[in-house]
Amino acid sequence: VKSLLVLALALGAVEQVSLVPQPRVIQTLTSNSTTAGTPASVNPTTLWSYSLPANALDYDGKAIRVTAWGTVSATVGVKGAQIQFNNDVVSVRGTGQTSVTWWLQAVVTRTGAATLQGFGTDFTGNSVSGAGPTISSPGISTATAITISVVGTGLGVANDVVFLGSTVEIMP
Amino acid sequence: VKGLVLVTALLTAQVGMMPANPAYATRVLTNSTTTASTGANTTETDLWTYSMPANTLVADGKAVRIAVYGSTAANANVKTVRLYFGSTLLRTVFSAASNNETWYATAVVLRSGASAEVAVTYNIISGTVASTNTAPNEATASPIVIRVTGQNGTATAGDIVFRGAVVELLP
Repeated sequence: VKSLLVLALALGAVEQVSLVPQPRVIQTLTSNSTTAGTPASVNPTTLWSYSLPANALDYDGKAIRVTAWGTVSATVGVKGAQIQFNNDVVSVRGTGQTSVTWWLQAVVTRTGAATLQGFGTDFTGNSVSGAGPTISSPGISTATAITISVVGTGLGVANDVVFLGSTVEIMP
Repeated sequence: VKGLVLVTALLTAQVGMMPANPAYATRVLTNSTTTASTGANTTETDLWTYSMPANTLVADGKAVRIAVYGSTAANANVKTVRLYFGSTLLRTVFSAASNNETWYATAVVLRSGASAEVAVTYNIISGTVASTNTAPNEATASPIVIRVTGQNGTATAGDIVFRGAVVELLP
């Protein structure tokens, strides 16, 4: 048994158990590359979603970074994509451009047990939103699961907005 | 046998908490959502600072990614925001009559020598993106202060608001 304990010490296992502060390693919670497009409708449509487990943001300062991207069609008119936390928009882009890619990112930081601060940025094609980056203050309980989603709004032609991929990282 | 079970459990738990290759894991060095604003003056004012410990960039190729953001007051006063890495101005994020807007900047600073770095910084404001390449000469063996400053063109309190920052270490 002594030998085994010495081995454990040498490998750092006991140090781990003694709660030595760990580096703030960023980890990927999920990633997705399953394509999804808006239907032949003008209604907002969820193109991808992920259920962030309850208490994933278990202390103030802990954050989630969501990155999502896709394309918009050749249909003329303003098409849109959003990242939402439950029903709160944390990054948004509407564009009148045609046949270009879109990219959205949001960093959402816990500021209290039921308060978050979101900051979103966006690009489509070669431009950014004229409204500027998105600052938001979602009032969402971190003690329950939070639905993170990408919502697209088209112009009535199928695949006006296409989701191509996303990543969700947790930033301790 | 109990000892063997204990050790196995400890090692399994440890391995289970480790990323696949921690040497290549991106880490958060600091983050902040503490709001800070300019005062009723036209002095360049630190709105956020972070002292990166000495030897954080311990080898060539290591880098930090800095993201900062904030907003401006609803008036036509000229406002200026700058992002620094040590004594090096990475970029003037904007210097304009920004009226009730949000602003954002990201920089990646990569060590190319013990006292040499290469950096690219881009920012978004007013529906435009702009970027700058710089070549800081900060000594990585000493702490390096990363900071955001605000400077009012007119002495009106709260014209520039810092709202958040994240600094990541890219090994």
